[in-house]
Amino acid sequence: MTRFPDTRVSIVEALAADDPDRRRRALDLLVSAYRAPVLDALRWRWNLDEPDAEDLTQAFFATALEKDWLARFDPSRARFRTFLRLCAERFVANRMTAAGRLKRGGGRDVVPFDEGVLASLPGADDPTEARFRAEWVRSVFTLAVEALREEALRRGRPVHLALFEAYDLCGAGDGERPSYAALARSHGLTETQVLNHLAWARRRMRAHVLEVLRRLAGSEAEYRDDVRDLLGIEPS
Amino acid sequence: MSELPDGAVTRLAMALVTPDLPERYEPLEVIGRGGMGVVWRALDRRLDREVAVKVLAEHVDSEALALRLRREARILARLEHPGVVSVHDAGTLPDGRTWYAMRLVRGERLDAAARRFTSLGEALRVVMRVAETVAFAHAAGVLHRDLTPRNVMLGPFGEVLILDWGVARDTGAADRPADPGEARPHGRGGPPAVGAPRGAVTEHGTVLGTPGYMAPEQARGLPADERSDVHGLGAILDDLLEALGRPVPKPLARVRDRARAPDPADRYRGAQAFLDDLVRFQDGDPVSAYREGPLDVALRLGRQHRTPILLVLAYLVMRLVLLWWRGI
Repeated sequence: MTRFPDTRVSIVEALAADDPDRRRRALDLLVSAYRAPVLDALRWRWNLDEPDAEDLTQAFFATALEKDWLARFDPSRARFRTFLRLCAERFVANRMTAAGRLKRGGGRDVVPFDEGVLASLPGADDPTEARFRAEWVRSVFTLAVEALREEALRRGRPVHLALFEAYDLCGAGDGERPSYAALARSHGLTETQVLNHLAWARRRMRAHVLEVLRRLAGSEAEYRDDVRDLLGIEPS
Repeated sequence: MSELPDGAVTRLAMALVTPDLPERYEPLEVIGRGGMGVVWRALDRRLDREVAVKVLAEHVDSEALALRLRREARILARLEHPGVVSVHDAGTLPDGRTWYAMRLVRGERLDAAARRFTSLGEALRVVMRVAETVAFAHAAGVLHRDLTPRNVMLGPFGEVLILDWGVARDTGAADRPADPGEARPHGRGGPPAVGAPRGAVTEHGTVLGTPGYMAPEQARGLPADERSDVHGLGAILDDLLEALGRPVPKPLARVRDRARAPDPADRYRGAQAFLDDLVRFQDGDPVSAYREGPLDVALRLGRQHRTPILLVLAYLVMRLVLLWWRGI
């Protein structure tokens, strides 16, 4: 397993840490970041309804951690998120096969989880991979927004946060987005202050995204790729 | 923790990679990156038009480069000429980075377009338009200092624009702080700009320009003047002539060579003098860079007055044929 330079540790290493607190934090992060993408991938791929997909997602995470599947991650062969998705899909495929055999009165000879999970890696234009990435981005942003909310309130900047939520987190249509002038009026600020407050929030948001990416990445190279991908900058 | 809706994810993805410009400008996409700045295509919401916005690059932590970007904006704003991109607006981002908005130029860079040139006239027209703009800048006291085919844009309607005035110098600005290390030569025999990036700035002994195009005195870190830009014009002319791949008329070759002379004292004194010679060449007049011999004069006059000469020759041939026929 490749160690990050400096103090950066991959999520896989953190999941296997001796310190139970660290392991728990890594597990919380893993589930927070990947539960929704895995759930969406399973629903989409297997055409499952919500409760079944929820059950399978929960079972997947429980089994993966219990059987230590994630320790098999090899950063030289795939991104961690791709590996995780393939694991989940293989897990569900096995469950389906087993269920079919049981119905037909067969035994419980389930195809074991093995290296075959990485036998056919998807390309970047693979629609399943693209969809999974989009959901993963949503999770990363959601985690970063949570961290930003916590920071803004802790540092006594609720107005900065309110402006950010109103302008950058509002609905999809352009018509729903308030203008700087409207925001300035409603908060008793000048337009320049609105711009400056928004700039602070975005700057902190970038920092939180970087932190989430750093903690989620499976390797240093993956971290750098993700930073370039989401923030358009060269990570320092 | 509730999941973000699609619209918020899309907006955040954009907000995280775009500069925090005033609301008037909505950054759309990056259309250029250089050592100093990033150029965005942006929507000017107030006037409902697309503009280009140049922002100091995020990694640039140099007051000298910030100053250079501000100076570039001021110079562009001052040079109101069809061959110079007009500046609409300028300011400072909340994080302190300088930016300015300018006309969005659409077209093709000359280094790429030159490969499709098919005639000498086409190449000369472009060089003359570039020289006109440089002559205008010189008259306004501005040196470009980085003239290369890459810094010339050809528009779809025949426009010829000079871009990238990032290392330009305003020779008239009395309070102009010197570029760091400018006019301080490298150590005697020290390496010039070979291998330096375009428009490179070194900590000591600034080398401004592009290797292969900048004048020798610039490469040595010596002060540039109008003749340094003439060298750049000569290099552009040379590139276009080479791209045509045809024999170059001797007078035109001399114009090019004089513009590119290693010693500034041997070059044209300014862009206007270079342009004047190109105009003379195109009009079939003798150029100042080339002393004609009798044969050259005859050939030039022959080219210049081709039609009447051909008519006279045809008349003489007919007379001869007539005389011969009568003599039979």
